[in-house]
Amino acid sequence: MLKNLIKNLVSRAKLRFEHYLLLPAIIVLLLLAIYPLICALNTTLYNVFLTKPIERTFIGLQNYIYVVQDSRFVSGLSRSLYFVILAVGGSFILGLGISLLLHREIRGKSVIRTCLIIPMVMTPVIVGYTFMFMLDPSLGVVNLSLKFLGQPGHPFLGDPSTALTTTALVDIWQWTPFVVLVLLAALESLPQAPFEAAKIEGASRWQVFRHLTLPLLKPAAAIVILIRLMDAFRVFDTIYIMTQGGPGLASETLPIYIWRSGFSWFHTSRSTVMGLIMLFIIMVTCWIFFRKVVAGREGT
Amino acid sequence: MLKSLKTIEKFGLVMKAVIENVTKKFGKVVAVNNVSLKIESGEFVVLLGPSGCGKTTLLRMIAGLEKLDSGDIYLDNRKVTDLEPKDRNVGMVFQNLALFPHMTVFDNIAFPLKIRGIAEGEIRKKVREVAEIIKVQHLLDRGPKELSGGEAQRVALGRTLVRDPSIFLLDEPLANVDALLRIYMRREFQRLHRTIKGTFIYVTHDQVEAMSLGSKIVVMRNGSVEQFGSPAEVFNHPANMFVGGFIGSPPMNMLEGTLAQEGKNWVFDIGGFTYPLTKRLGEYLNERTSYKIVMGIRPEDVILFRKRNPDTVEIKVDTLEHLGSDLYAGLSTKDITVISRLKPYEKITVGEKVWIQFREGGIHFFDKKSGTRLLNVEEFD
Repeated sequence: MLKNLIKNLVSRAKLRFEHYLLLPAIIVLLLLAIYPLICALNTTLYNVFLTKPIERTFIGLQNYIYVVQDSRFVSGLSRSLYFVILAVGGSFILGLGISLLLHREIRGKSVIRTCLIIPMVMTPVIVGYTFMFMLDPSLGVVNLSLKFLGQPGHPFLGDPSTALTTTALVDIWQWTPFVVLVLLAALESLPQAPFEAAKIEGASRWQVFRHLTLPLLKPAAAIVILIRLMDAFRVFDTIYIMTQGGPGLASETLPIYIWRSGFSWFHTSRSTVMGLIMLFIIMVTCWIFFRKVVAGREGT
Repeated sequence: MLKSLKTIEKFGLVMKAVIENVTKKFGKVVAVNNVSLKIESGEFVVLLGPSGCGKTTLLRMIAGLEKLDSGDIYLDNRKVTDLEPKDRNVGMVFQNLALFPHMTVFDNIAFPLKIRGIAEGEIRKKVREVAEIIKVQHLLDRGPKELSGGEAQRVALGRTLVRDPSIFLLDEPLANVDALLRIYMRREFQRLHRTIKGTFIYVTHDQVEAMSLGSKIVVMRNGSVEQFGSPAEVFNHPANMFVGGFIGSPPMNMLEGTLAQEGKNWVFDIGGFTYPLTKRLGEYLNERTSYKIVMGIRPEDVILFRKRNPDTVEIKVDTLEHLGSDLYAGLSTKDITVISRLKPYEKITVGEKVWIQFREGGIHFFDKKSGTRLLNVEEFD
């Protein structure tokens, strides 16, 4: 009886001790994530300007109504979607291709791998400037090369019809290596035997890829796409450096518009609303994606 | 056609697989060294040897998963040396089974048919047939992770069975299976071999598996074939000291000694322990070798007496191992130790003085330097 009681007490104490261990993490989370989020939500209900932070008037949901009806917000969002689909799709397909090419015995593989990392470790601002100069219509190496080949030059960043696509291509350039690294690591950690078995059973290279490599790569691919989705959605620096969202509004993605609204026009509450909507979109996208691809795998 | 006719002339009609002077190196290490084998149709050939002896490499070369450095491989009278695995019509079961983790049992078995573009209905029929042979009808919808060791084993077999390969290659399929299941699966393999009348090449390092399954055993060491023969041949007439020591558990007693003459009689002198030989035998051995000789005698051929008998030698019981169905007694003098297999009910104690005799037919003589067998007393008389 007494023994049981002591045992009970000990296990309880242990449980409580474990809870205490969680406390620092909970405090950090509260201070750095939950509290600001609540503050942000609060801000959206007032009319707050960055220049006059004290003077705030309660306006209910008017900020939300304004933002949803704001055509510049809607077009910014659609540009962001275009950017994300192009950048994530492009870097994934390219990255998958490169990782498959590298997944074999080649001389100097580690050197190639190291070189691949270079775009990834470059500061986005530097990437933006570098590409801006390279794409310069009169002095840039791209246009000079085109002229050398007898092709007409093109102001890639200056033409409204190509500006957004060009920024997406730069993003692909910078982040394809990330896809390669993750997928290559995944490929190299796959068990060899099933592939040998498939070879013996008569599968062609395409069939091995289609029936084995791709399905076995799915979890890693899902994670890569997820991370890329989140990253591409909030790209700001490279686009800002190269075009400032221009020409006109041609490359004004949502993050650029939010920044402009918040820090050029100082409309804190409206930009907060847009930021929260963007956060919500990313979360829902990731959640659906996770449910469909990552978790769906366990079911079959 | 002409080519295959030529190979028929060369090897005869019944050869299922011919391995001719095959060598494989990995860097400086010679994994398989000039191996030649002829395997007849319907045989169950076991490649047996300690780890690193090249048996798996040889099997993988037959499958086409490793390129040969030199030599040739023929399957069904067709040269396959440079063919891709898929063009060789072999089936292989891997040590870790290599089931496709993202497919159900049905899809795993159906895979070889699916990639050949066979009609859905035909596939279903064929998979059911195979599932019945390997007794997995009730598991077809499960994933590989939900299978027990034995079930996964059978599914891996099923995947090779489904398309009727001309030869089955099995790479230590029971290495990762627990002891009880192994005994069961051994019988299953035997049954399967009988049912489908296929040709099997089976790699193992377990001599019990080899003895119980094989119709022929290839004993390998350091990339070379030490002996190729039926289990009985390999057991009763080991070609050299290595085969003698490797096959049989506990291993053959190896007693090093010299040939000597005591008066008119020949004896085998093991140092403080002499064993009488017949005149013919003594002369025969004397002619064959001038080096030291090793006498090999299996534990079951060491006969124990409780009293001094003619032609027995005195020895002391040093250790006793009760293994349930057997009792192994370690018997020692000052110079030698021999293991004797006794009946489990034998009343014997450590330290006891006993007398032993070697069963005449069980004595093997090997040349110490080369390790090769000089003779077996039985075949001599």
